[in-house]
Amino acid sequence: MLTCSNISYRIKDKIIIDNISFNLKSGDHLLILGPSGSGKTTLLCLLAALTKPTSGNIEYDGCDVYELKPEERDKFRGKNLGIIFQNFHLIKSLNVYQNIALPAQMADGKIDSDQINYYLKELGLEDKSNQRISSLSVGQSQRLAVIRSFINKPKWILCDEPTSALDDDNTDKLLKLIKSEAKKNKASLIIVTHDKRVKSHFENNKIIEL
Amino acid sequence: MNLFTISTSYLSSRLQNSILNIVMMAAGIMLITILLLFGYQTQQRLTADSKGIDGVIGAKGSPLQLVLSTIYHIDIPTGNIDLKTASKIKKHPQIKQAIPISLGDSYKGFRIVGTDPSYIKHFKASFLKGSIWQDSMEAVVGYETAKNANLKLGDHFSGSHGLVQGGEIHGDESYKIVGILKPTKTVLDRLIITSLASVWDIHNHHEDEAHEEDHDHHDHEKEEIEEDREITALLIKYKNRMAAITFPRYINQNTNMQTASPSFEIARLIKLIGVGKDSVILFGSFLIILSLSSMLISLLNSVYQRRYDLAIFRTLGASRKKVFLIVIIEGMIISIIGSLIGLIAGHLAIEMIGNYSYKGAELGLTGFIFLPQIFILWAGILLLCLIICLIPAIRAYKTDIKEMLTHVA
Repeated sequence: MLTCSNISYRIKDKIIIDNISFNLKSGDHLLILGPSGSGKTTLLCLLAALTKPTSGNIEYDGCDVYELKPEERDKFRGKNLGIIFQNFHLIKSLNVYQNIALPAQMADGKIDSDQINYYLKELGLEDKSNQRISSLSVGQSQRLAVIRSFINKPKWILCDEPTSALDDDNTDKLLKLIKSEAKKNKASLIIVTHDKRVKSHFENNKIIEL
Repeated sequence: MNLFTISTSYLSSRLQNSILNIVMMAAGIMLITILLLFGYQTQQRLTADSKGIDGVIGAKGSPLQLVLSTIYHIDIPTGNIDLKTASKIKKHPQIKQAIPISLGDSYKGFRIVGTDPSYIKHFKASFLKGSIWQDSMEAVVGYETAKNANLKLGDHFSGSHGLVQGGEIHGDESYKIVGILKPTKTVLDRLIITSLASVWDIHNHHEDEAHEEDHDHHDHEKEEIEEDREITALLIKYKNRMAAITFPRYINQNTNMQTASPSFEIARLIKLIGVGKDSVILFGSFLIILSLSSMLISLLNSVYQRRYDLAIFRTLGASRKKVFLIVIIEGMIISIIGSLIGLIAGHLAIEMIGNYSYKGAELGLTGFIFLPQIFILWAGILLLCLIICLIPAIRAYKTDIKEMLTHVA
């Protein structure tokens, strides 16, 4: 269960996030919708244990992440949170295999090569595991980025504008992939976006508008 | 995959830039390594060759030239001195030992030195094969000479006039090799040693030939030649320290000869070459500083260009320490590879100079020598690199992820 209680974030006198509260049960999905400059990415950073809120608490299964020491917080993030970025941001200097293995390496340094090979097979990228990211098509890159966020079997998936650069068809495909992977891994899903097309994939009571 | 793989992958993705940094680092360290190896071995060689020799008495001229030609055998002698006077000097109460040296001929570039057995004893040399000469035209060869000129015990060879290759060959007179010396790591290894009588006999024979038709004067002139025999120099050792001050003054003021002090002349020579050596060290240091600056700029650029990558690493669970380490590893990979290539290239260059250059071989240069000061320098440069890497690493450590993600979003 994710519990956000009265979280606010200010820079000097400017209020970026103002007193937001919500709960998200395990396996549930939540869409946070808002226009550019409404503080969506800031909210994602707060939820991802990257930036401490000015006030309020964020608890994952009763654990206040900002009460943890910085090292422990990094470890918590690596093991429990999967993050999908706008433009997917794969690491160009690493090959396909290394990009998938990256979260495992960053979180605790333990890489399960069987699991990685399984995902490579699922993505149809077995023969490209040693190739650079630049050799992948846009679709392959999208799927790789999604799978990368699930590699540590996180309990919560945070997505930052995952569909902003995609057409309707690809938006639909990507959201279906994210949701199905979340379901497979029994992970809760939070999508932060300004893209109203995403709204149709969520039930009305699971949408917060900023 | 580990942090090292992540760093090497990034470096290989920017191969040209990485190679440039490595080459600059290697060039600077190679130059300094060459200089340190050359300077150390030259100094060792100069010290070993002149050990136990307090002075050289020879014809007037440049004292440095006298020392270089008679002790180190790398220059042309200033002239000859009268044997009769030299014999008197040998008996002087301030002189403990005087070794006569007579130069003039060579074989395949190896100098033929006319002397007496005390010259070989002076270097504490022992025989690998054979023994000392008993008669005129018998010679003993140094270890390197035998190896490089392919001379064996019992071989005969004819010397050529002059101290470098290409002189007129004394074809009628040939030396017989009666001994080969064990290596001494001194100039003796690259010489051919014979009796003074052999050198005189060769040159008297030539003068005889010149006067062959003038039979009436032949016997008379031969006697004159015996009387007027000359040598090139006397290598002397004083009985006491006072002699080192008074004796050279006595020789310089009362005879047409001079006394040169090897230690003084070599100190002067080193001081002279020191200017050039300092310039090369300065240039090498400049290259290293340039490479360190280039590495710093390159790492700062890479941290700037990859700020989003580094932010991604953090969001994937990497601690600040891990991100810091990735940048440090990148810098240290360049530094370690560059400096190792520089060290190896420096040693190889000296080995090649020692093997393929005549002068290098003469100095006995080798690259297979490991000086502690080079490793101290290497460790110092690596430490400096580490300090330099700290700047971009701290910048990576302090990366504000929220700002980065917000900015890109």
